[in-house]
Amino acid sequence: MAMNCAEFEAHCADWMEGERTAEARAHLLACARCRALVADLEAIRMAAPALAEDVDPPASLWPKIEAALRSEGIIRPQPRLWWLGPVPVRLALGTALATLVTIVAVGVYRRPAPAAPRLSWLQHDQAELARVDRQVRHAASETAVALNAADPAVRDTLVRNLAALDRQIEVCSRTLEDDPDDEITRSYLFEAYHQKSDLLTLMAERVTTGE
Amino acid sequence: MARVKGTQTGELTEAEAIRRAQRGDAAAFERLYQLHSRRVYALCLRMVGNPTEAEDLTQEAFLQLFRKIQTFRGESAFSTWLHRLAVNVVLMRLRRKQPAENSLDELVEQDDDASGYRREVGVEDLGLAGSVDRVHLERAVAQLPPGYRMVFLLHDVQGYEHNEIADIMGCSIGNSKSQLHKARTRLRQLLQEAERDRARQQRQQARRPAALGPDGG
Repeated sequence: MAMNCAEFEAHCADWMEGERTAEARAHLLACARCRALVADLEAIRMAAPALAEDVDPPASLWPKIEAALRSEGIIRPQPRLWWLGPVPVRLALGTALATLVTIVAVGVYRRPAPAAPRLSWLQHDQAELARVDRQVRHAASETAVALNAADPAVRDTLVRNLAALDRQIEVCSRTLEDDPDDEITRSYLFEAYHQKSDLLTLMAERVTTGE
Repeated sequence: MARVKGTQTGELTEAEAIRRAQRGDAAAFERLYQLHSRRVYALCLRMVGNPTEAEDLTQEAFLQLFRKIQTFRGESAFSTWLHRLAVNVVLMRLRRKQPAENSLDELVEQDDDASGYRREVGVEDLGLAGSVDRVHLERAVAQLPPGYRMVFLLHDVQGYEHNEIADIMGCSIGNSKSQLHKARTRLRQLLQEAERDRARQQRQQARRPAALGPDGG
């Protein structure tokens, strides 16, 4: 059935949304007035995005909002955790962990020179290893303190696992003092340090995300 | 907008910033502000046409957002949620300014006659020749009723879909489509009127020198 202008106008919103019936198409073909209407509405639609420029609010606005948030207690002081601390501190602790793992890895895979006295790799690097291990233990204790605020069940599991790895490291180290050439124990020690590093990272993430 | 120097906010994604803001982290709030303030301010400015008032409205929208950020669970897009707050703040302000004209119901439920699109008997439609000048369009948009202006800005200017606008403005999708169509038809009428005025002025200017004569008398 043929559509008249009033009927097309009633349908025009749908037409502009892409719902185009055969009757409406037929009317447009025959009616210059309604064609002009559609052309103008399309022109307006096409021109509109040119108005979309975002505008910088005044620079003074954020300080005002921030001050209001602080006065209402919505912005709160954040706990100073080492992994959220200043970049130099995070870098230092990250480097300590990486150094520890590297020392162990180099020691594990380094063959002693045949003519050298039977000084083990562990004895060679003992002082350095002890220093870095102290740093890692300090980071671990800080992480454990921060974990006190976390879910008790999660905290207990992580702390238990850390203690088990420390025991493994201690046993392996003692065994290697007696027999520095024990390849299997070396690999266990290396693996334990790796796991400790991973676990500390996980603990940090858990506390950071609050999970 | 310009990055804020001396903060760590530039590294945060929106999701991270939301999570940290929910814990009260100042840098996270600032990051969310950086991500969205230009768009919100632009919308407020187009709606009220006054930079000072737009700043005030933007501040109010962000304060409302941050006060409620603990309740955000991600069911809708964060920007949609923010725009809903901003739209409400703007429309409430306009309603307070002109209570008789701009009640919220009227802003989104005006009937066809109120759209201003009426074909007058004996008046020839003046086509826009397929193109619309940006400056003229800006002037026409500023004359739209607030409800139409808001839907037009959200859909045709900022690119929101009708389902998002329905969410933002608290109306149906059909209502959003209907409001948009009325906004466009009203704009067409305003542009045509402006074009007629310009044509009339040009005719008058063309006649004036002839009427005055070469000696001005």
